[in-house]
Amino acid sequence: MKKLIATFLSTLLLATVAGCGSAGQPSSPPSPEATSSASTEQLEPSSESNAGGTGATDVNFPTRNVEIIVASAAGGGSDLLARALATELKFSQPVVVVNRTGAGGAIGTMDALTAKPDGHTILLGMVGPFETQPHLLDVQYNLDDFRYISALTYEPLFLVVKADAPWSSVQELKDAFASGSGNTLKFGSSSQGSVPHLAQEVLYKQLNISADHVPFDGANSAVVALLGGHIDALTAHLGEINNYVSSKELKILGVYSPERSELAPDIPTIKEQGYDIDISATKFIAVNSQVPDEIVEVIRSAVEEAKNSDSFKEFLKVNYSTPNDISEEDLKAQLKRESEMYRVVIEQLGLKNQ
Amino acid sequence: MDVIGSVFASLFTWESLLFLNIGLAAGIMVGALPGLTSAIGVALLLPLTYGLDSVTGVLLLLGAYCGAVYGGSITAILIKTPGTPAAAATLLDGHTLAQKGHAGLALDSALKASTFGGVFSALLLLFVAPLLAKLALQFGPAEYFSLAVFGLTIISGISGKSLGKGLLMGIVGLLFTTVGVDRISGNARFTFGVNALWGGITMIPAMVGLFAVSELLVKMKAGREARSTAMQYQKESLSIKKFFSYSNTLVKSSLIGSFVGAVPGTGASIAAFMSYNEAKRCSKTPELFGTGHIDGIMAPESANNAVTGSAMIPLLTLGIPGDTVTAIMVGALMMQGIVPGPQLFVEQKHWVYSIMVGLLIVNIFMFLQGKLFIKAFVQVTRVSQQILIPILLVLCVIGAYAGNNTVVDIVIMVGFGIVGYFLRKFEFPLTPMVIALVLGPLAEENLRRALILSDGSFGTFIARPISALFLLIALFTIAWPFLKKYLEWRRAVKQA
Repeated sequence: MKKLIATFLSTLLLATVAGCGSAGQPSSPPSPEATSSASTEQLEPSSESNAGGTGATDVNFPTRNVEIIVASAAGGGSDLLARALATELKFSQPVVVVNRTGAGGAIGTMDALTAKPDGHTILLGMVGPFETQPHLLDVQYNLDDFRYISALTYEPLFLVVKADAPWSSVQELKDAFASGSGNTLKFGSSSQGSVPHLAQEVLYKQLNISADHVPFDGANSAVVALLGGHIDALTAHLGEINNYVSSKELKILGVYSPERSELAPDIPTIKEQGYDIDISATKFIAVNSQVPDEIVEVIRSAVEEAKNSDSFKEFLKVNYSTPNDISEEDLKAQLKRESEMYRVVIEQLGLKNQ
Repeated sequence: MDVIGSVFASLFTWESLLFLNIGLAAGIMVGALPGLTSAIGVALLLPLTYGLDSVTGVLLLLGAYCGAVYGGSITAILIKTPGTPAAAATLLDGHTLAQKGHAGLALDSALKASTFGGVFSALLLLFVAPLLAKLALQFGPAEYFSLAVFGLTIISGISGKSLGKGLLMGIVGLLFTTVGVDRISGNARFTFGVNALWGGITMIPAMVGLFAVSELLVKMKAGREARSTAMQYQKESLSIKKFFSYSNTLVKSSLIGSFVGAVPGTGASIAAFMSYNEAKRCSKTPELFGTGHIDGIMAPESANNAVTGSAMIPLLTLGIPGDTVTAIMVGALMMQGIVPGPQLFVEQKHWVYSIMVGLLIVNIFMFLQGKLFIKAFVQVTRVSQQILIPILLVLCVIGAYAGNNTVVDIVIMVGFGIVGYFLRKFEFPLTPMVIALVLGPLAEENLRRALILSDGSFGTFIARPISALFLLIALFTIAWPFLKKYLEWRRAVKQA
């Protein structure tokens, strides 16, 4: 008898875990509506789910869970963005966020491409794996392999130093570390070849100062190193540093965008300070370019609807991101342009040594 | 006084207590299953917090965190398969004691030590958080490197019978950590053109393979005979008086755990190994370690749970998540509109203290739930091997897959399992490799960062006091066995 109970218990255990495992990390517990509409879907296709779609009524999509691949770790900025979007995506099937980390996002991006191109796998696109990693690693994708369904955010970059540092402007930083002065600026970033890294390389080259890069393991550890005074400067997004700026432990010297950010209108641009630079990050939704057009349109309208929801807008505000509404063509052109810029920078720096 | 009153009012609601216990139960289950770590447990529960108020939501996650760190010890003791890397050190004495027929005693010791460590660090969090946070900021690349070097010297202490074999395993482990895209240069190393290896050989699948899969293979080979030697379980517990006779080990290990936890980027497994080694080093009977010594269970278990409280220190005081679990918590808090950081203590005092006191309550409930779970889990030892082994293998596969949702990790797990089987056969100790897998990246990356910062001068490791201190301790750890022999020899000469 006891043996029977034990066997039962262990099978139960297995069943629970199997359940968790297959569900991955559901962005939200599947709501009752989602489940019920899923079960009645065969009878009345697109009863409510596709209502927002333009001419999409005859498309049978989605027929199973929709996966959003996030190419960075759970809990990070991209992951939160994907989850915030997922809770607002009104598909007739549950939306699941899957984290696939590694190689600066290149692994998750490749996975999104190797999945069946039926629209059930969509990618939270980040500039790193699209614009810089292809020049560092032999990735198995290029910009034409994807369709850029919708831009989500515009994320300006900020140049930051410790609040008690003797430099308060880009000019003063330049004077302190001018090449030949014998001082070398030690600057940090979230990782080697990341946009915050390359942005600084571009800037410091313009400033003609001698600078050494110290790559960290994520923006957080770089910020900790700056707080502890182990490095002199870093570049990051506002959400990663704003805490310490408001507690007066860090100060911002400038923003890399051509115009001041509405998130921090008091911060002067680097351009205002006399140096021509325009670097920022964008997050977007992408799918394999072989996904049929009508399915792309269904996804697009669902994403657009989610972007316009109050809770998503609120999320962006809390997380220091600006909504981005550029078109697919403009986004693709921007990615290509920036990718070319980074290719030149990476070649000049000799970062790729294979 | 107002603060204290309102803190207790917000904690002792049926909602808080209910979700805290749900978190704990889920955490202990996840922790006990091989490969599923506290980070996965917390990530799975994350969506649940969206509908809760922020204190309840964080208590749910804290419950899962503490529960998972504790839960790993249950399977380590019962089936020689650490549920989480943090419990890999517990296996050394925990399982041996269980094999001697004292599984009950081993489980009870682990639970009590975990609770002690958890409560200890929760109190520390409550009283000295800002102080420790300042210390954590002093850790730059040079300090991390020296800490990792010290950690690696532990291999000498736990290699068992053969130091040579232990060191060999450590070196092979370090080599494995160099696979994948190098974080400093951004180039792929040792991937042999296989893009799937860009992510490197990750800790969890490797550990599950080495410990769990190889053990299952051994059991499979043993086949039917194994059943007759199935573990005898009888209820045994450690009296309070006896428990506190280990207070030396407990306090020292909890301090080590709290310290390691407060330093971002380290973690529970490092703390567990460090305190195991320390307990063994200063023990009067070091030869008993590895033979089912209670000290050898107390040390890692109190240390790994002491990490839980102090991991919250950088989070609450600086807004810095020290590990994956706290990073997910930051995510949960941001969703609630709470931005962790230095201003929290000023603006949201009530909230911060609710979390701190809540952590104490979590640990108390963990003790009660642990008692219940032990009762349920020991039933596993009654299941026949033919049924248990396939189930555990499936769980291992799920555990290896769940971390990063990739099939490559399953392949890595199976590979390490087969290698581990032969290593066991030739009596190579497996723990040194796990230590190397944990510490390798920490050591290498920070060595290179520190050298960039010092313009290539190795003097930086000695010039910086904290770093120099760790290197000294490392040197001492290596020299200690020889020193001890010498001292014994001199004593013997004197007496003669």
